[in-house]
Amino acid sequence: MNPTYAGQILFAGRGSSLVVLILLLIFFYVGLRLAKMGRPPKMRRLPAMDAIDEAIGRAAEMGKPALYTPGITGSLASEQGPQMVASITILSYVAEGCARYDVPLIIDFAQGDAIPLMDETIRLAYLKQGKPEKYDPKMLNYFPGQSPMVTGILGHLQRLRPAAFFMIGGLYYESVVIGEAANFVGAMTIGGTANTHQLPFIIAVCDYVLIGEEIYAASAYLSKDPYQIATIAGEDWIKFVLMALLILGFILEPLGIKIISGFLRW
Amino acid sequence: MGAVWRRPEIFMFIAGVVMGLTLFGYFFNVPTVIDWVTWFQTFATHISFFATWLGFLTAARIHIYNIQRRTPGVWYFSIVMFLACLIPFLAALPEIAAPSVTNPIYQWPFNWVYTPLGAALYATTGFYIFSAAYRAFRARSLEATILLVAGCLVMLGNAPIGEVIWNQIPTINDWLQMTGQTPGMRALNITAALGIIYFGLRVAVGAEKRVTTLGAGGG
Amino acid sequence: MGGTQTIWEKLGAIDKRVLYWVLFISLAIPYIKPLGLPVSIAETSYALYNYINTLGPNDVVVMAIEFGVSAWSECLPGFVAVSKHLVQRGVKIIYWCVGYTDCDLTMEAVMARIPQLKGPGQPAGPGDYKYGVDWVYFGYIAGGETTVAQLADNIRNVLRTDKYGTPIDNIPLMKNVNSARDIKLVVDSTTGDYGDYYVRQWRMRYGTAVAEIGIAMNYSTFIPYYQAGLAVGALKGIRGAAEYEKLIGQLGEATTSLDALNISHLLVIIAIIFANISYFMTKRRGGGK
Repeated sequence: MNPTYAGQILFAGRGSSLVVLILLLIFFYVGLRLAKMGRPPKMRRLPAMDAIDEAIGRAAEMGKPALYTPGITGSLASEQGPQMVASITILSYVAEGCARYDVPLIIDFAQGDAIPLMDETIRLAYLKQGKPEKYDPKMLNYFPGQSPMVTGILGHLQRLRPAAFFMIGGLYYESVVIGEAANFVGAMTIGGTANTHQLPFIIAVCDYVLIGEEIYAASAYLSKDPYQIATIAGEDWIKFVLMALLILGFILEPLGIKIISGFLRW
Repeated sequence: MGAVWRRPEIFMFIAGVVMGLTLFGYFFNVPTVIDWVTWFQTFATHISFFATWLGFLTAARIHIYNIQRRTPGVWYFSIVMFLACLIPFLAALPEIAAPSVTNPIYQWPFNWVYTPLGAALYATTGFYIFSAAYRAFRARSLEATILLVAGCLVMLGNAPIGEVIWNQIPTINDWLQMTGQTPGMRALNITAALGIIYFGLRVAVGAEKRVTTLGAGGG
Repeated sequence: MGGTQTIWEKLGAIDKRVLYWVLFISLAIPYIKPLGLPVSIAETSYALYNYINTLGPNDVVVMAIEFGVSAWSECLPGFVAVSKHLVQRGVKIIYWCVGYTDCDLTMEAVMARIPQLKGPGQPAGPGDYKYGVDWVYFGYIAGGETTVAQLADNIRNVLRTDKYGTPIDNIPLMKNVNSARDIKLVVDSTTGDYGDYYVRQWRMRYGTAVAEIGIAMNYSTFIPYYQAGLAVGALKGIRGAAEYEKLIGQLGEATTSLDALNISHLLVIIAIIFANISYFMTKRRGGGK
């Protein structure tokens, strides 16, 4: 383990992280209190969220299905779990839209441990729209791996030719393959991921994009869940703190005042 | 109301305690807590093995349904899936006392069917990138033009032919990759990390019932 | 809008299949007539090379195989080049994999390309690497980042035997290797996020040096770590591998594959130029999209 200073129980170099974590907790609590008091922090609507409604409407007009995939993402227990959960929240919104306009919805995914969650989410979405009988478990297509999932999605795109294609979640190399294939069949493509190495590709292949943290923001906005709204507010507030630290450090360090760097190394 | 052991509060409590102790063990040098954290990590590693089984059982459920209902165009492929799983398993039964993944009956379909197919699929990525670049990299706006120019410079900088075309391209490429894009990449990494941290906090305080209960106890 | 397309509109709407055939045929050209263009060395490749030059026979390095067979074309040459450099320096090497179940195939490919790496039971002559003494292979270890964290804390908590069933305590190389504190460098070759795992769990918690041999798209996301001093170097896909081969003086697959990189990148640039000419000419004439 990292050495501790003599007589100090805190590991060296982790003090500043602890302070940031405590601040995150405080901001989360404040955001949650505001949300529960009926004064949630205001969230701006992202263009991609409007595009979700537009895509579903397009599919309804054309009489074609909508295809949704959270990408390869990884299990709920992995570090990609937050992206999967955000994707499922957005999927819930898409499912409600599809139920409302009788658009067939197909979901292709590769996360075995998320099946009960997705099943429950879609079922509730159809129930909310008063069409529980329209829900069919065969909408969910599980593929045991990345390559099978990519092949399956390519097959669905070619055969079903959906009018709307959503790929939101932890995407890897499949993003460019399935995104471009969706363009081939004329689907309106909405993508989103927090995996920075895939961002250039989804920007190139998708019509609308949720970049990085925007998938969490979209999830919070669409779900109206006070906990998720509180976390988005907390993230923004901590970013202000970090920016203030950055600016202070930028000014003080060249003057030889090492407070900021000392704190960050504490 | 389900059985007591399926109550969602139990799962949320376990998740909260494990996460709290893990965080505590990261920051504070308390040997007892650190030993518990190591113990939790061992559990997590073992649980990941069960995830493999969960995936297989899920796929099996879907394919059994297809076979029972004779889903048109699909049910015979479901039989192929089961055969592909069962044949190696049955063939390796004599080794059940000391199973080994070096058994040729496991190795052959993996090495000569699954792996080449995956490699071929990955190879198609280059072609899709080519058509995506042709279709998408058009100077429709100022931002698109900047993306286009930066992308072309980085592509030329990555290939030695860029130096042949203009000897300053590697310098521009280095600047773009080491300096130009770093602030944006750091910002994206920080925000993505904040999202992950907050997700963990939501699970720890029991706000993500969907994840901790996964349908058990009607969460 | 009807009627026949102008030449400019046709230039911007070339069938994808034509584009793919052009690319496919063009990539075959370098195999018939190699271009052999010179390669300059990037700062991050130099940095990794210089760091490994400070290591010696008393140091142990982990080479993490975090790429599958499908990524051999981009990651394997660089992985082999760095392994060869470590062998040149006499550094002890541990190979393992946390991400991909087909790592055994990759290890076989590495051994085929580095004849000095002798397998278990094979005799080792002067200059060879004897299995168990100079290098060891642990195979695939499930568990992702949690396993990476556990390996950093105590390798024996995760690994009881090597890939071939030898108990870890019977492996001479592992006698004094218990945790990340005993490892001088982790070189992670990845197509995804595994480099981040080692930075978070090994570098941040124990100060172990980390480097990445990644695909080109990972380079941009890994560079902030290098600039922050959290990584000692990085290789950028096949280009980085060719640079490293040049540095160690043993040209190999990466150098021969660079021609394909040249052709493909040039073709993409030409296609983009055609597309933009079409766009501007069509826009000027008041048509198209």
